[in-house]
Amino acid sequence: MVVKRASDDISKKTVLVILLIAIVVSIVSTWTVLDTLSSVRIIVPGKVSDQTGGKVFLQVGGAIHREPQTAVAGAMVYLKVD
Amino acid sequence: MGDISNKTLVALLVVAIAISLIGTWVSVSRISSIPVRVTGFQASQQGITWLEVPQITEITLCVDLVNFSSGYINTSNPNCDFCTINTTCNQSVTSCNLAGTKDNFTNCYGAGTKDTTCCINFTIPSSGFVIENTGTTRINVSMVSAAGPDWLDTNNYDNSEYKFRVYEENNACGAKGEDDYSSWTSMPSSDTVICNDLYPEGSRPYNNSIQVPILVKIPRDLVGVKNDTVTFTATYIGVP
Repeated sequence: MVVKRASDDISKKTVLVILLIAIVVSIVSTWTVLDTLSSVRIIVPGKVSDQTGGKVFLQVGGAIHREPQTAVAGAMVYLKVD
Repeated sequence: MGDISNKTLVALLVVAIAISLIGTWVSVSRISSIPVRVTGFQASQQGITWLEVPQITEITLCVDLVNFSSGYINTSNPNCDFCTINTTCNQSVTSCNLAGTKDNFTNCYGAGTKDTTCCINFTIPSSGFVIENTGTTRINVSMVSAAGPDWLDTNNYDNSEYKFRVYEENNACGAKGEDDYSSWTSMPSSDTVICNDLYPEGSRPYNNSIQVPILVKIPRDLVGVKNDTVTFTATYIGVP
């Protein structure tokens, strides 16, 4: 009968440490990919941005009064007596 | 199947870590190489567009010449001390502001007159001065004659006449206008308001003009060319 010695195999502690490393690497990798994706914007021609909120303010006549204002026009009366 | 040894598990974990790292590297490098434009994030999602339409005070003379042309007084007639002519008051004048429309002066007296006994030749002008508010503001219109009311006086005759009237396009003036000047009035030698509160075209369509007919009473001893400059001034009084 052959008795396998425990020293021939890797300890459970070592396996656990490597497993934890694998989990951490997986989480960090996922976070890196998602973070890279969120930092870019792709503009698709013909699509309207979802940020369409806006406000248009229209004032006719304006707040700037330029008074007094004047305009002048000249006219003429003509006659000739022979 | 027997249990997997710890060595095998460790080997599998190392492979998994390697795959994860390589996968991450490949993903990031491919995302970075996609031809995209990065838009700038706007600081605010709300903007303001400000448009100001400037106020314009402006008048246009659709008729700026009153031309009685040339003629003479019938001096062979001892009763002809004067020759009196006045312009036609045109009841429908083509607008110089709004194409295809007319300025209607329904209260105008109509055809001008000429004393045919004493006035030889001369022409009855087809219209008085026509002034339109072509700006965007309400205005007062004033008038001044450079020569003044005694323009045609001579040494022998100091009672010549040089007069005007005012007619409104559909009661265009808030005050003055036909209320004060519907009969012949001596031409002013100082700036005189002849129409209060004349509105611009856009606010009261077909209601932005006045007509100023002219009358002259020429003494028999007047000779030569006579010119007088009449100046119309628009003064801002408010917005419509």
